[in-house]
Amino acid sequence: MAKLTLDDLRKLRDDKRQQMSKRAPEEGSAVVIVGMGTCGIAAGSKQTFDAFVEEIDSRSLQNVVMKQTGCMGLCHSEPTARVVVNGMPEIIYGNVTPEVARKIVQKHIIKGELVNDHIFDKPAADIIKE
Amino acid sequence: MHANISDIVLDIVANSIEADAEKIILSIYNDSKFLNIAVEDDGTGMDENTLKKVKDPFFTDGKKHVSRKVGLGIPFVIQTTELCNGSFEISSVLNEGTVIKFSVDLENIDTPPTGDLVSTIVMLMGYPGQFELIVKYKTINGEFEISRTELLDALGDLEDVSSIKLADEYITGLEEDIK
Repeated sequence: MAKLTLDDLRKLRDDKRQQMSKRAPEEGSAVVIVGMGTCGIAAGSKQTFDAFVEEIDSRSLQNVVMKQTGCMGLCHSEPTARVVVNGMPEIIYGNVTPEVARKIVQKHIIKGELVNDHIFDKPAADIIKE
Repeated sequence: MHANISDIVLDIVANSIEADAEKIILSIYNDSKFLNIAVEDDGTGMDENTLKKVKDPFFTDGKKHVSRKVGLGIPFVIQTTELCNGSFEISSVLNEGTVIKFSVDLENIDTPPTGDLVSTIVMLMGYPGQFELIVKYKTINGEFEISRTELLDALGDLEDVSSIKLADEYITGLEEDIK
Protein backbone atom coordinates (compact mmCIF):
# COMPACT_ATOMS: atom_id res chain seq x y z
CA MET A 1 0.00 0.00 0.00
CA ALA A 2 1.21 3.49 -0.87
CA LYS A 3 2.45 5.69 1.95
CA LEU A 4 -0.30 7.65 3.69
CA THR A 5 -0.22 11.43 4.07
CA LEU A 6 -1.98 13.50 6.72
CA ASP A 7 -4.61 14.43 4.10
CA ASP A 8 -5.23 10.74 3.41
CA LEU A 9 -5.69 10.23 7.15
CA ARG A 10 -8.25 13.03 7.28
CA LYS A 11 -10.20 11.51 4.40
CA LEU A 12 -10.10 7.95 5.74
CA ARG A 13 -11.20 9.22 9.11
CA ASP A 14 -14.16 11.06 7.56
CA ASP A 15 -15.16 7.91 5.67
CA LYS A 16 -15.09 5.90 8.92
CA ARG A 17 -17.18 8.56 10.66
CA GLN A 18 -19.83 8.38 7.97
CA GLN A 19 -19.98 4.60 8.23
CA MET A 20 -20.28 4.84 12.00
CA SER A 21 -23.05 7.41 11.94
CA LYS A 22 -25.10 5.06 9.80
CA ARG A 23 -24.97 2.41 12.50
CA ALA A 24 -27.70 2.11 15.07
CA PRO A 25 -26.72 3.63 18.43
CA GLU A 26 -28.19 0.74 20.47
CA GLU A 27 -25.13 -1.40 19.79
CA GLY A 28 -23.83 -0.22 23.15
CA SER A 29 -20.52 1.36 23.90
CA ALA A 30 -17.47 0.12 25.74
CA VAL A 31 -14.40 1.74 27.24
CA VAL A 32 -11.22 -0.22 27.90
CA ILE A 33 -8.60 1.48 30.07
CA VAL A 34 -5.21 -0.21 30.25
CA GLY A 35 -2.84 0.58 33.15
CA MET A 36 0.42 1.90 31.72
CA GLY A 37 2.47 2.61 34.82
CA THR A 38 6.03 1.33 35.11
CA CYS A 39 4.65 -1.86 36.68
CA GLY A 40 2.18 -2.37 33.83
CA ILE A 41 4.75 -1.74 31.12
CA ALA A 42 7.23 -4.13 32.77
CA ALA A 43 4.54 -6.83 32.82
CA GLY A 44 3.79 -6.35 29.13
CA SER A 45 0.81 -3.95 29.12
CA LYS A 46 1.84 -2.55 25.74
CA GLN A 47 1.32 -5.97 24.17
CA THR A 48 -2.00 -6.16 26.04
CA PHE A 49 -3.07 -2.78 24.64
CA ASP A 50 -2.04 -3.86 21.13
CA ALA A 51 -3.96 -7.14 21.53
CA PHE A 52 -7.15 -5.24 22.49
CA VAL A 53 -6.73 -2.97 19.45
CA GLU A 54 -6.14 -5.91 17.10
CA GLU A 55 -9.04 -7.98 18.43
CA ILE A 56 -11.49 -5.06 18.38
CA ASP A 57 -10.35 -4.08 14.90
CA SER A 58 -10.46 -7.61 13.48
CA ARG A 59 -14.05 -7.99 14.70
CA SER A 60 -14.94 -4.54 13.31
CA LEU A 61 -16.43 -3.49 16.63
CA GLN A 62 -17.59 0.11 16.65
CA ASN A 63 -18.09 2.29 19.73
CA VAL A 64 -15.16 0.84 21.66
CA VAL A 65 -12.84 3.43 23.12
CA MET A 66 -9.28 2.56 24.18
CA LYS A 67 -7.71 4.64 26.93
CA GLN A 68 -4.52 4.51 28.98
CA THR A 69 -3.97 5.37 32.60
CA GLY A 70 -1.18 5.16 35.16
CA CYS A 71 -0.77 2.51 37.85
CA MET A 72 -4.02 1.44 39.55
CA GLY A 73 -2.11 0.12 42.54
CA LEU A 74 -2.46 -3.53 41.56
CA CYS A 75 1.21 -3.88 40.63
CA HIS A 76 1.19 -7.54 41.69
CA SER A 77 -1.39 -8.38 39.03
CA GLU A 78 -0.30 -6.36 36.03
CA PRO A 79 -1.18 -5.94 33.24
CA THR A 80 -4.51 -4.52 34.39
CA ALA A 81 -7.45 -3.30 32.37
CA ARG A 82 -10.62 -1.56 33.47
CA VAL A 83 -13.58 -2.42 31.29
CA VAL A 84 -16.73 -0.30 31.26
CA VAL A 85 -19.62 -1.61 29.20
CA ASN A 86 -23.11 -0.13 29.20
CA GLY A 87 -25.44 -2.14 31.42
CA MET A 88 -22.67 -4.17 33.06
CA PRO A 89 -20.71 -3.73 36.29
CA GLU A 90 -17.45 -1.86 35.92
CA ILE A 91 -14.65 -4.41 36.20
CA ILE A 92 -10.91 -4.19 36.74
CA TYR A 93 -9.24 -7.24 35.29
CA GLY A 94 -5.76 -8.34 36.39
CA ASN A 95 -3.08 -10.51 34.77
CA VAL A 96 -4.41 -9.46 31.40
CA THR A 97 -2.02 -11.12 28.97
CA PRO A 98 -2.74 -10.60 25.24
CA GLU A 99 -4.64 -13.90 25.33
CA VAL A 100 -6.83 -12.72 28.22
CA ALA A 101 -7.35 -9.39 26.41
CA ARG A 102 -8.78 -11.25 23.42
CA LYS A 103 -11.00 -13.27 25.77
CA ILE A 104 -12.28 -10.06 27.39
CA VAL A 105 -13.25 -8.70 23.96
CA GLN A 106 -14.97 -11.95 22.98
CA LYS A 107 -16.76 -12.59 26.29
CA HIS A 108 -17.20 -9.31 28.18
CA ILE A 109 -17.57 -6.81 25.34
CA ILE A 110 -19.35 -8.96 22.76
CA LYS A 111 -21.35 -11.47 24.84
CA GLY A 112 -21.77 -9.52 28.06
CA GLU A 113 -20.22 -12.26 30.23
CA LEU A 114 -17.51 -11.66 32.82
CA VAL A 115 -14.09 -13.31 32.55
CA ASN A 116 -14.19 -14.75 36.05
CA ASP A 117 -10.60 -15.75 36.76
CA HIS A 118 -9.21 -12.25 36.34
CA ILE A 119 -11.58 -9.97 38.26
CA PHE A 120 -10.53 -7.32 40.80
CA ASP A 121 -13.41 -5.16 41.90
CA LYS A 122 -11.61 -1.84 42.37
CA PRO A 123 -8.17 -0.16 42.41
CA ALA A 124 -5.90 -0.84 45.41
CA ALA A 125 -7.21 0.76 48.63
CA ASP A 126 -4.17 3.03 49.07
CA ILE A 127 -4.61 4.83 45.78
CA ILE A 128 -8.34 5.58 45.94
CA LYS A 129 -8.83 9.29 46.60
CA GLU A 130 -11.53 9.99 49.18
CA MET B 1 13.54 -4.21 33.91
CA HIS B 2 11.61 -3.52 30.75
CA ALA B 3 11.63 -6.11 27.99
CA ASN B 4 12.55 -3.73 25.19
CA ILE B 5 13.71 -0.19 24.46
CA SER B 6 10.27 0.92 23.26
CA ASP B 7 8.85 0.11 26.70
CA ILE B 8 11.48 2.37 28.29
CA VAL B 9 10.53 5.19 25.91
CA LEU B 10 6.85 4.69 26.78
CA ASP B 11 7.62 4.87 30.50
CA ILE B 12 9.89 7.92 30.32
CA VAL B 13 7.59 10.00 28.11
CA ALA B 14 4.63 9.06 30.36
CA ASN B 15 6.67 10.61 33.22
CA SER B 16 6.82 13.89 31.28
CA ILE B 17 3.06 13.82 30.70
CA GLU B 18 2.43 13.13 34.38
CA ALA B 19 4.79 16.00 35.27
CA ASP B 20 2.26 18.35 33.61
CA ALA B 21 4.46 19.11 30.62
CA GLU B 22 2.84 21.25 27.94
CA LYS B 23 5.48 20.46 25.35
CA ILE B 24 7.53 17.28 25.07
CA ILE B 25 10.12 16.56 22.41
CA LEU B 26 11.02 12.91 21.85
CA SER B 27 14.09 12.50 19.65
CA ILE B 28 15.04 9.11 18.31
CA TYR B 29 18.28 8.73 16.40
CA ASN B 30 19.35 5.34 15.12
CA ASP B 31 22.87 5.71 13.70
CA SER B 32 23.10 1.93 13.08
CA LYS B 33 25.63 1.52 15.88
CA PHE B 34 23.70 3.17 18.71
CA LEU B 35 20.05 3.93 19.33
CA ASN B 36 19.97 7.38 20.93
CA ILE B 37 16.86 8.60 22.71
CA ALA B 38 16.23 12.05 24.19
CA VAL B 39 13.12 13.23 26.01
CA GLU B 40 12.87 16.90 26.78
CA ASP B 41 9.91 18.43 28.62
CA ASP B 42 8.76 21.66 30.18
CA GLY B 43 7.05 19.93 33.11
CA THR B 44 7.42 20.52 36.83
CA GLY B 45 11.11 19.53 36.90
CA MET B 46 12.99 18.63 40.08
CA ASP B 47 15.35 20.31 42.51
CA GLU B 48 18.90 18.99 42.92
CA ASN B 49 18.02 16.89 45.92
CA THR B 50 15.12 15.10 44.21
CA LEU B 51 17.19 14.64 41.07
CA LYS B 52 19.77 12.64 43.04
CA LYS B 53 17.07 10.44 44.53
CA VAL B 54 15.29 9.48 41.30
CA LYS B 55 18.10 7.07 40.52
CA ASP B 56 17.18 5.16 43.68
CA PRO B 57 14.61 2.40 42.99
CA PHE B 58 13.24 2.84 46.50
CA PHE B 59 12.39 6.51 46.02
CA THR B 60 9.15 8.01 44.69
CA ASP B 61 7.57 11.43 45.20
CA GLY B 62 4.85 9.72 47.25
CA LYS B 63 1.98 11.49 45.50
CA LYS B 64 0.47 8.56 43.64
CA HIS B 65 0.90 5.93 46.33
CA VAL B 66 1.25 7.63 49.66
CA SER B 67 2.57 4.65 51.58
CA ARG B 68 4.64 3.00 48.86
CA LYS B 69 8.37 3.39 48.44
CA VAL B 70 9.25 2.26 44.96
CA GLY B 71 9.96 4.24 41.80
CA LEU B 72 11.38 2.01 39.11
CA GLY B 73 11.06 4.07 35.92
CA ILE B 74 14.45 5.82 35.87
CA PRO B 75 16.32 2.93 37.61
CA PHE B 76 15.14 0.63 34.79
CA VAL B 77 16.70 2.95 32.19
CA ILE B 78 19.97 3.09 34.11
CA GLN B 79 20.03 -0.67 34.62
CA THR B 80 19.47 -1.32 30.91
CA THR B 81 22.10 1.16 29.70
CA GLU B 82 24.67 -0.14 32.20
CA LEU B 83 24.13 -3.68 30.96
CA CYS B 84 24.88 -2.97 27.34
CA ASN B 85 27.58 -0.34 26.92
CA GLY B 86 25.01 2.44 26.76
CA SER B 87 24.84 5.86 28.36
CA PHE B 88 22.39 7.75 30.53
CA GLU B 89 22.11 11.36 31.61
CA ILE B 90 19.42 13.38 33.29
CA SER B 91 19.19 17.08 34.01
CA SER B 92 16.34 18.98 35.54
CA VAL B 93 15.42 22.44 36.79
CA LEU B 94 12.54 22.86 39.20
CA ASN B 95 9.54 24.51 37.48
CA GLU B 96 11.33 24.53 34.14
CA GLY B 97 11.55 20.95 32.98
CA THR B 98 13.59 17.80 32.61
CA VAL B 99 15.85 16.35 29.92
CA ILE B 100 16.67 12.65 29.81
CA LYS B 101 19.09 11.24 27.26
CA PHE B 102 20.11 7.63 26.90
CA SER B 103 21.64 5.37 24.33
CA VAL B 104 22.07 1.65 23.82
CA ASP B 105 24.70 -0.15 21.78
CA LEU B 106 22.77 -1.99 19.06
CA GLU B 107 25.63 -4.43 18.51
CA ASN B 108 25.98 -5.43 22.15
CA ILE B 109 24.63 -8.89 22.86
CA ASP B 110 23.06 -7.71 26.13
CA THR B 111 21.03 -4.93 24.51
CA PRO B 112 17.31 -5.69 24.67
CA PRO B 113 15.39 -5.65 21.39
CA THR B 114 14.24 -2.23 20.17
CA GLY B 115 10.59 -3.28 20.15
CA ASP B 116 7.86 -1.56 18.19
CA LEU B 117 8.71 2.16 18.21
CA VAL B 118 5.82 3.02 15.89
CA SER B 119 3.06 1.64 18.12
CA THR B 120 4.85 3.22 21.10
CA ILE B 121 4.65 6.62 19.38
CA VAL B 122 0.96 6.04 18.60
CA MET B 123 0.22 5.13 22.23
CA LEU B 124 2.03 8.22 23.52
CA MET B 125 0.18 10.45 21.07
CA GLY B 126 -3.07 8.97 22.40
CA TYR B 127 -2.23 9.34 26.10
CA PRO B 128 -4.96 11.43 27.76
CA GLY B 129 -4.21 15.06 28.58
CA GLN B 130 -3.52 18.42 27.03
CA PHE B 131 0.06 18.42 25.83
CA GLU B 132 2.07 18.78 22.67
CA LEU B 133 4.34 15.89 21.75
CA ILE B 134 6.80 16.32 18.92
CA VAL B 135 8.57 13.19 17.71
CA LYS B 136 11.77 13.59 15.71
CA TYR B 137 12.89 10.27 14.25
CA LYS B 138 16.18 10.08 12.41
CA THR B 139 18.29 7.31 10.90
CA ILE B 140 21.31 7.38 8.60
CA ASN B 141 18.87 7.28 5.67
CA GLY B 142 16.67 10.23 6.56
CA GLU B 143 14.38 11.73 9.14
CA PHE B 144 10.81 12.75 9.83
CA GLU B 145 8.99 14.81 12.39
CA ILE B 146 5.42 14.49 13.58
CA SER B 147 3.43 16.44 16.15
CA ARG B 148 0.50 15.37 18.28
CA THR B 149 -1.41 18.49 17.18
CA GLU B 150 -1.25 17.62 13.48
CA LEU B 151 -2.09 13.97 14.11
CA LEU B 152 -5.10 14.80 16.31
CA ASP B 153 -6.16 17.45 13.80
CA ALA B 154 -6.23 14.81 11.05
CA LEU B 155 -7.78 12.00 13.10
CA GLY B 156 -9.99 13.77 15.63
CA ASP B 157 -8.87 11.55 18.49
CA LEU B 158 -6.65 8.58 19.18
CA GLU B 159 -8.97 6.62 21.43
CA ASP B 160 -11.06 5.14 18.68
CA VAL B 161 -9.58 1.84 17.47
CA SER B 162 -9.89 2.77 13.79
CA SER B 163 -7.98 6.03 14.46
CA ILE B 164 -5.27 4.12 16.32
CA LYS B 165 -4.89 1.75 13.34
CA LEU B 166 -4.75 4.65 10.86
CA ALA B 167 -2.12 6.48 12.92
CA ASP B 168 -0.07 3.28 13.10
CA GLU B 169 -0.28 2.82 9.34
CA TYR B 170 0.71 6.45 8.74
CA ILE B 171 3.76 6.40 11.02
CA THR B 172 4.79 2.95 9.76
CA GLY B 173 4.90 4.51 6.28
CA LEU B 174 7.10 7.35 7.51
CA GLU B 175 9.43 4.88 9.26
CA GLU B 176 9.70 2.63 6.18
CA ASP B 177 11.10 5.57 4.20
CA ILE B 178 14.05 6.05 6.52
CA LYS B 179 14.89 2.44 7.33
